[in-house]
Amino acid sequence: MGLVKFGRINLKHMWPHLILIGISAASFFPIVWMFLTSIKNPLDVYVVPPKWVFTPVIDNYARAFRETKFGENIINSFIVSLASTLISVFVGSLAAYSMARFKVGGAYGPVGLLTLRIMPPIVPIIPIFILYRTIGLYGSLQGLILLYSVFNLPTVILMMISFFVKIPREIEEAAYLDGCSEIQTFMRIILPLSMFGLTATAAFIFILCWNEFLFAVILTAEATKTAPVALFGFITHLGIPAGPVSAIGVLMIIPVVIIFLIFQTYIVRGLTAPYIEKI
Amino acid sequence: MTLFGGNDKVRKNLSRRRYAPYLMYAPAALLIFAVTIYPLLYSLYMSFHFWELGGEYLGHAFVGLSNYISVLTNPDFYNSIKMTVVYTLGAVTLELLIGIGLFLALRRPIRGIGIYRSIIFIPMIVAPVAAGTIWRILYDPDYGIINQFLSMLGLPTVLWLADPKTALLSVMLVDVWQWTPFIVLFLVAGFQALPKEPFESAQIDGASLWQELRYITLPLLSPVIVAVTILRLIEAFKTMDTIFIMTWGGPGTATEVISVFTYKLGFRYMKTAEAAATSFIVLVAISLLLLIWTKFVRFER
Repeated sequence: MGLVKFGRINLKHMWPHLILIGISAASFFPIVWMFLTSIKNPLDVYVVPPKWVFTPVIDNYARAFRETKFGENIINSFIVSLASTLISVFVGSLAAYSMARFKVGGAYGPVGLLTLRIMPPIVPIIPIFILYRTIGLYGSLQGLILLYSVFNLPTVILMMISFFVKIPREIEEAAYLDGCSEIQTFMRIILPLSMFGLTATAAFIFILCWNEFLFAVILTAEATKTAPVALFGFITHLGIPAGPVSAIGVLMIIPVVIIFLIFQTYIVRGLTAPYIEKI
Repeated sequence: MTLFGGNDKVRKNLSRRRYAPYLMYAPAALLIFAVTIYPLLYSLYMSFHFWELGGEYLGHAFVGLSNYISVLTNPDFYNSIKMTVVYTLGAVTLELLIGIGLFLALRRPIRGIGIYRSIIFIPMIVAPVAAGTIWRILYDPDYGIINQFLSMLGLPTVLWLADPKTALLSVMLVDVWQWTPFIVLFLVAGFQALPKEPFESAQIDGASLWQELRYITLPLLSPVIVAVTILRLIEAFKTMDTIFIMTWGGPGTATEVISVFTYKLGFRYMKTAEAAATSFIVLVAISLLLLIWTKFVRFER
């Protein structure tokens, strides 16, 4: 009897794990397959049935760097993502603080931001393309940085508001009594206290910038292409050179996976917290 | 002396508090105005004028509503609306069905969930461009692993992206792959934020598992489910990159959602003004979605 019960409990404990292993496999398999394709010899890629055991080669990676400007593209991506993240998190936090504490922008401020946040990127890109060509920002990294910084502001502000409202007001009142101005209070007290939120937001925004495609494909020139645009350039509408594009895909995924693994808890909370707490 | 000095400082700060917050708010407001609001107004202006890429020498005459009329009489526009609705509702419905099912199986605290969470979160952070590339390789009719698996099982193979009948479903499945885990994690987070008492009293009263789900878990969680549904609907509505990479709206117009339609109109057929007009129709539609959202989620802050 005891043994049966033990067995049943064990099974009951096991099946969530079986489900999780199943979802994990389904989630991870496509990426694993891409990685396997990227280290296959071109001859091994197009074999029926697919080979699971093969001699790995790095030719596809070598080709990506030698025959294309992928090295440059990935550097462009880093510059644009890092600069945009810093600008939008800094500017956005300031605005978020003024909205969270002093109600600047009124009750409809957040709703307005939400409208911008949910706007499909195809809507603003048409006039921005025309305007960028007129003022000469077309094809420049600065232009892309400006665009990413501003288009991520609503997300930054909405995320940071949810972190700022949790800071007890007494701390700020104490700072005012000690003679700090609002800006000083923000820089010396609020920002250090919000490191968690700032990190979550920054990591999240970096990933968004790193992955952004539509603005980049429309606004970059040969020398300023980012990694997603380069990957797209490899794909023709007839076919797809599986080996090299997989190599490029893997190289594009690695940085975000590293960032994700480091800042996981921050990102997961950042993604869910603003919505869960409102309810 | 110190007392007065202190009071002076406080009073000074109180008076300064009037403009310092606006100073903090100003950079963001100015940037958003210059790079978002102004271009949108410009786009509205464009939509009432003649405007074609490469046709600048023809000038930009005022044409009234004719751009809107040509969009609204374009059968491809209605096709793209249909595709967007089918894509958005289809993908989100699948994600919700699978997501809620998995959530129900996983809602109790599980040891080692962190490792699984790391893995199932990864599809979400993969660039849509890369996700589209991965799935194009998997969907390949001849060499793709999916068809090879089907034929190994003796099942008929499918053309996936190349067949107008399956192309939309194929691109939807990529969205399902990327975002179902998000729904599960979102619901688990929401579930853990719920008060524990109702569940305890249900247990004391001897409620069955089904009764607990039907009368406690799902009703208490419904705001979370509504929130995640609307969030996903909005994001799915914006989908463009994966479709761009996998099908470019094709075959024919089988996967041409509204964003892809607008892109082609503006950047391929160079009808910039018509694309601007379409984008305003999209903006009105998305604002209606927002109105629905604000009905469910209040923003008091």
